[in-house]
Amino acid sequence: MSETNLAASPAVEPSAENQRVITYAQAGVEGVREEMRRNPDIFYIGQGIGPRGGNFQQSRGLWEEFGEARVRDTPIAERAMTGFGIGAALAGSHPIVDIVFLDFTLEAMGEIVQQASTIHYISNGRFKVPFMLRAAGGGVRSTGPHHSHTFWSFFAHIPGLKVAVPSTPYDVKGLIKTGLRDENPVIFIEHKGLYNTKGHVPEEEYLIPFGQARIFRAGTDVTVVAMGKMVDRALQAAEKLQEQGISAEVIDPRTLVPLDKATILNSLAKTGRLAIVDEAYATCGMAAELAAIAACEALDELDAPILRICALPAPHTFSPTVDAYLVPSVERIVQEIESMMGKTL
Amino acid sequence: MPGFQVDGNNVLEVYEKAGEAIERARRGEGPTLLECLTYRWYGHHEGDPGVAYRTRDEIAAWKERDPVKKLKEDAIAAKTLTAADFENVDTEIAAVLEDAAQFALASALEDESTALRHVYHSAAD
Repeated sequence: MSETNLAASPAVEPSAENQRVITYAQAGVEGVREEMRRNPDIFYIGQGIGPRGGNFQQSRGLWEEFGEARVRDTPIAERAMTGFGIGAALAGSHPIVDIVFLDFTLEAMGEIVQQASTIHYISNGRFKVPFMLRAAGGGVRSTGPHHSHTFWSFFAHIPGLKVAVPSTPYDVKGLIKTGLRDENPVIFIEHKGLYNTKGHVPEEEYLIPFGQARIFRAGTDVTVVAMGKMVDRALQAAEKLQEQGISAEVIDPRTLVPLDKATILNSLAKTGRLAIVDEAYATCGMAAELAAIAACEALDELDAPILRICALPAPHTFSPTVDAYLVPSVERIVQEIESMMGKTL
Repeated sequence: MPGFQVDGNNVLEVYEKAGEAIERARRGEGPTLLECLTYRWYGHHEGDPGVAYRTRDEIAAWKERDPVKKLKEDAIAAKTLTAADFENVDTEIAAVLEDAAQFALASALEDESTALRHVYHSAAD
């Protein structure tokens, strides 16, 4: 096996002009393919991830290269697939169980929370569960309440699970590779609305360590923490805010567990203001958690109330207008941050 | 899909029918439904008599049909094993359980400092 030096991997993609550009979906396939070539213990199961290549082409070409023994379609039985994967992990394999739509991880929650997250602990470290649950969250094309949710905080709540939420093609490849070398249960949550986005992705191997946030844009007036598809919206909002002389620093934690608190708190020490943009709900979500961390650990740094810009508290809808209204838009992010700039503690 | 109802308190009958179902599945002929009729002797937890919703007579009748006792009697009648063989197994298991119980009773309760160990696997462990 070739070993990639984690420490030597760049945290962000080099900005060379002639870098190769591929999609977020292709970057995921490339990361999985490299790891499957490297580690014969990895296999991949899910609904429609074989010859069909996945709903989002997120497994395209893997079945053709690795065959039925390592890439296999399953029946529509999320709990069975997940339990099967956890059992295989205990027996020495490293499975990827692709649930495809994050909403359907709910069907497998007992296996994920009661089994995968606890087995290492209750066996006093004797057993381990090297297992990746892959699923795509977030809304795209207003596909209603059963295919649009962003339930990542459910997993971040549970000790024993790691949670990655990449927002760019570069991060998908680097994080999925790291996840497949981690011997813990890793919940790898891509965003459906990002699969067709494009970005620079080196052809060579690289790994992105878990627990290392990415500062997408430096700024001095307000720290904006965003995840998934909201990273791009926060960056667009930051450009508009800049026109009004408001300098926003945009940070993507990239992994929710482990969480890079230091990068966020260092930024807050500089800006004194914290806004969190999350496509999930505010109540008990990552935005609540990040707000709590800032309030508990950096209250003295805050110059204004913490701002949570999240999905409005209603199920997702099939109505394009209503669904777009529920999720933070660039305009809403701009307006709420503008309003925050006028407030003080 | 074929389905069978068997006496769930008859170990050999369950073994035989389950074996046929497994063989069928391995031949690629699909699943089999096996309904094994049996009974839960006790309540929800140790110490729960479980008689609020059923009679003591019903429980006693099912205990008469103890599957372990039946297997033992059948094996002795068929001269597969002797009564002494079963006694040896019982003695051996009782000793294992007694050792485990004594080990547990003699051991100190877990130190609180270990509460956060092994939440995550680490290559360093």
